[in-house]
Amino acid sequence: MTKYNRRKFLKGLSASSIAAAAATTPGVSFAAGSSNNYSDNILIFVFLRGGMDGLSLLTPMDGHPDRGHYEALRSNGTMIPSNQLLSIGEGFGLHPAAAPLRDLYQQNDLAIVRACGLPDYEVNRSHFEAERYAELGTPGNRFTPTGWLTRHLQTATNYPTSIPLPVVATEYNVTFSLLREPTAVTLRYPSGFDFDTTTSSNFNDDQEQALADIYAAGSSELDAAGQQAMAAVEIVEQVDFDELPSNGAQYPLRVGSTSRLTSFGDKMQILAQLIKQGTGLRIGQADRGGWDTHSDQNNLIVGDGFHENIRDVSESLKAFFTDLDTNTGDGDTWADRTTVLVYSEFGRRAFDNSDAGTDHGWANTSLVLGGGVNGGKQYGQWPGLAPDNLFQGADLRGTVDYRSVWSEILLKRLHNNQIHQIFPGFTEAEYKPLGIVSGSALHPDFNNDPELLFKGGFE
Amino acid sequence: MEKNKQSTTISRRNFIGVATAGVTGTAALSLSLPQQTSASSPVFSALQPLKPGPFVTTGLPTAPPLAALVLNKAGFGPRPGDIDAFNTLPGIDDTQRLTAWVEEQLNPTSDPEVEARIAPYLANGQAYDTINKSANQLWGEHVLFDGTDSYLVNNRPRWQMERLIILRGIYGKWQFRELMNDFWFNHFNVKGNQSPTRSMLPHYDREIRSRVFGNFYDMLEANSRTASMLFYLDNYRNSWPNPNENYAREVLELHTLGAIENYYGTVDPNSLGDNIKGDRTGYTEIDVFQFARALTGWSIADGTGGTPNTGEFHFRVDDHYDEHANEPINVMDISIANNRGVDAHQDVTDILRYLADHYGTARFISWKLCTRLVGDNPPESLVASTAEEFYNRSNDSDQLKEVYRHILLSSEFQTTWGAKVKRPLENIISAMRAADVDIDFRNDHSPSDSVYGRLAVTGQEPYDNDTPTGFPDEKALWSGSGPLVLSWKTITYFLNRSGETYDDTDTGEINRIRYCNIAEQANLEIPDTASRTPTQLVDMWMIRLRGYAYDAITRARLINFVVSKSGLTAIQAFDANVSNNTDAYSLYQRVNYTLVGLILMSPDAIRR
Repeated sequence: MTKYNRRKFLKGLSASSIAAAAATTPGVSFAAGSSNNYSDNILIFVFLRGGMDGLSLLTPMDGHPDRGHYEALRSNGTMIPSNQLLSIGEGFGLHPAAAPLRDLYQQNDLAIVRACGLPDYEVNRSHFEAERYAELGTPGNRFTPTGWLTRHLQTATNYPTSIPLPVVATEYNVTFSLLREPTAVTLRYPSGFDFDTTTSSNFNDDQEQALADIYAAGSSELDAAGQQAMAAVEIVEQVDFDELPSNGAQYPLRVGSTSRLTSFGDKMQILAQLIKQGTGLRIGQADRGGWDTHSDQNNLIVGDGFHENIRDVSESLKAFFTDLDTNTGDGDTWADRTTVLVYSEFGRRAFDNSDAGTDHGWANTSLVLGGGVNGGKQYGQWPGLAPDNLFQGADLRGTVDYRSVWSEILLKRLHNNQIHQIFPGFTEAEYKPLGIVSGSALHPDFNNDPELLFKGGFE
Repeated sequence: MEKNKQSTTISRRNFIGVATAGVTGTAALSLSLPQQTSASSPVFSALQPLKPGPFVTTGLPTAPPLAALVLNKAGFGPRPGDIDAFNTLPGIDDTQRLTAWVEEQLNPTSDPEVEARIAPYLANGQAYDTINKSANQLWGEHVLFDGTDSYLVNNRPRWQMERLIILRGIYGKWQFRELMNDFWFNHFNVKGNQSPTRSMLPHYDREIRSRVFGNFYDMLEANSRTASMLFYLDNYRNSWPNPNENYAREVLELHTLGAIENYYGTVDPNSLGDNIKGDRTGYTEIDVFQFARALTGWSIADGTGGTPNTGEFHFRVDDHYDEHANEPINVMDISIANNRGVDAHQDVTDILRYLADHYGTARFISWKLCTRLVGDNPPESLVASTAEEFYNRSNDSDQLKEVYRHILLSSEFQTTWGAKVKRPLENIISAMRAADVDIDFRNDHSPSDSVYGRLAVTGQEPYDNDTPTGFPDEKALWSGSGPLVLSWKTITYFLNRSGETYDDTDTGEINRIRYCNIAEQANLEIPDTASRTPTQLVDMWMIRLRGYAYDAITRARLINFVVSKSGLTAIQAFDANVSNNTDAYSLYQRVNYTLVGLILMSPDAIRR
């Protein structure tokens, strides 16, 4: 395992900058690292952008009381025949391209949450709004300055004091979940993550050092961001992104290619490499778009549309866990420590449209995989597809507030109980844990003191 | 199933309308009120105002001289000489000079340097041979092409337009227009790599570009007829009886009113009140659906349904909603009698006109412009006053010009610095301008491709944003390590090639400068060889590149860098005969271009 130069850590989690961090982000305290497993646990947040059609991922089969309604609702080219679905019990089946997910389900490594989404008083069918309401952790408020994961990191008290690369989003831009998180590194193409190195010059290192010094002399948000960027370059340089997946894990190839991974497969492989090579990654985010299937959704034909989207995600997630099934050296595997949460901003309308596609809806299928998951089960009350069951006669009705799922993961897997800070406005009465993950649950703190809501990372 | 005894299949229309027993006809268009399970949210749940918190005025860095502020916020940053040109505009103070600058920029004429750099490549087979093609030509020659190498032909217009953005950014005399071109393209974003947009981008760009100083309704209406938009948001196949809502929703949510202040979700539209101008205060899901009805048949002639295959706008009367002829289409305050036959496309233009004139639209677009030009979460007072200009001028042919003027001449614009950051495209173009690069930026040209390829992974590749919202504009989203490091990678790449030459096979020119020659620029700026000291080089470059001196700490660090790499003291000159000595000249070149890189990557070079 690569030994990292422990002095090249990122600001905010370093011993020498604790004072600076504490001064600017009150409430953050980093207790000395303990042998408590929870502080080693990893959360990977996968956001499916565009509104994944959850009804085509988890679908009632022949024998389910809603199968007839389903066939009538989806009669314009998006229906999946019952005999093509992959049965997982309770009358439901997974999409035909989701065989890898079915494998994970049968190994009890995948839990499926049904009818999950925004709370009924903040249903929003706008991508723009719904994704913010979810990722900022504040349904109804799109201007919250920090993301839910930012506030988790700000309130967690069990992380070690020094971690090289604790937070990575394999994206071009900072995500809303990680908005204003000082330690977040956006790393879409890690192997080129450096200044230009095509000229051989002993100036490169000095130039980088000089720029780091210039940014270190300032105190604005941009100065802090620049320092982070320079520190990130140093650390990322030491990671081997050519390392092959373990256990023969095969991330999905692009359609028609024999060598290039799909974009999402590539992202998951990068996260696995970062985890296995001991960068200390604790929070990762990977987005996958292409779900806004208003026309020609294509549920059935291999190689395109929704079918290809599901293939890509399923194969990527399975490869990810196969890849992580290697020993940490502390008596467990990386897969044991890693939980993946898969979410999309909304599901789609129960009935399809005249263009063999679907429009925006509400409740959706959500997935929780990996370490600590009580898998092989479906969670959340199925609301039904009969006309009276549909929300406004149009959408699958939500029965699970997404914050219940995300809070349960924070409490039981990451041992952070500051729910009132992370999901301000979310009340104790609304928190309904479903038992999706295991772990001794901290008692959640719902005291209404969301002062952290208005603190940015460095302000 | 049991509810509906009239048929064995569930009629689609019964799903938008709740199956209230006994109601026929118009029941399909009504919506039940949401089931409120939480007492905290009344039907008129308060929406977030556009400005929810105080405008940040503390903790921002000191603003540079106004010339530098203006050129970096209302353009892509200065080229050498631009700061002086601003400061010699007519006027006794900065504000008067700004007024003169704004008046010039709002009335562009010819763009000589851009035109000169494009001219050699307009002939057939050359690098800019599609940019002036008509919509018909683009459709016939590129969209429909399916011969050998169709991928190359289909995408050729896109690749050319991608490079044209950069060329215009570097050399455009009318910098503010280039910024607004970018703003409005993002406002009406389409994904560039899809058919037919990838072939139609020259036309799509013209439809926007020719109107950025004109009237918003005019721009909106022209945009609604483009094949690019109608394909991107599926409206080309929006037909009754199963309308596709995508375009209708995005027109309301993104192009006009905006969801932030004006979207009321699933409430009964008749329960909404009026805004301060007496118009209905916002839109609901019902309005989205109704607008989608109105937009049925609003399509493109693509050879289907008896239409010619031209890619031109075509209204398919037969696909347009014409059942229940006595039922009007109701979108907010507009009520349109149905079944106007071939004139039914007025259903759409009437609604677009209403939306363009709506105060909610004035506020939303004003807010976006203030966010772009002043800072995130712009002051409510500025948004409101800008919205008044927008609203009152909704029929003026120079509406947008005057809206921009209002913002640019505001005190907030003139005094706010650092509330924004340059996004990668702006960062890179800004650096190329400051370094005075000499490049006919174009497709299939090695120096251009090397830069473009690096720009393409920064997160802001032109025409490459997936979502109808376009590239985001919030500072926090672009301050991440990814955009910063990869922008810097691009900037150091071209600077590291300072002095390199190549043979241009397109023009026949040999030993053409690849990007720039930083050492030669230094020599021209400091002709006296005895004055080429680390200190004077640093001071010269700061002024030449940025127009003003950085703070003392940064200056000292820059001087220290030059000292350490050159082996000189701070006040010792480089060897006077350096140009005669390859190694010494190489060192001199390298010191200069890495110094230039530091200045262009420093925080203030990224601020807006």
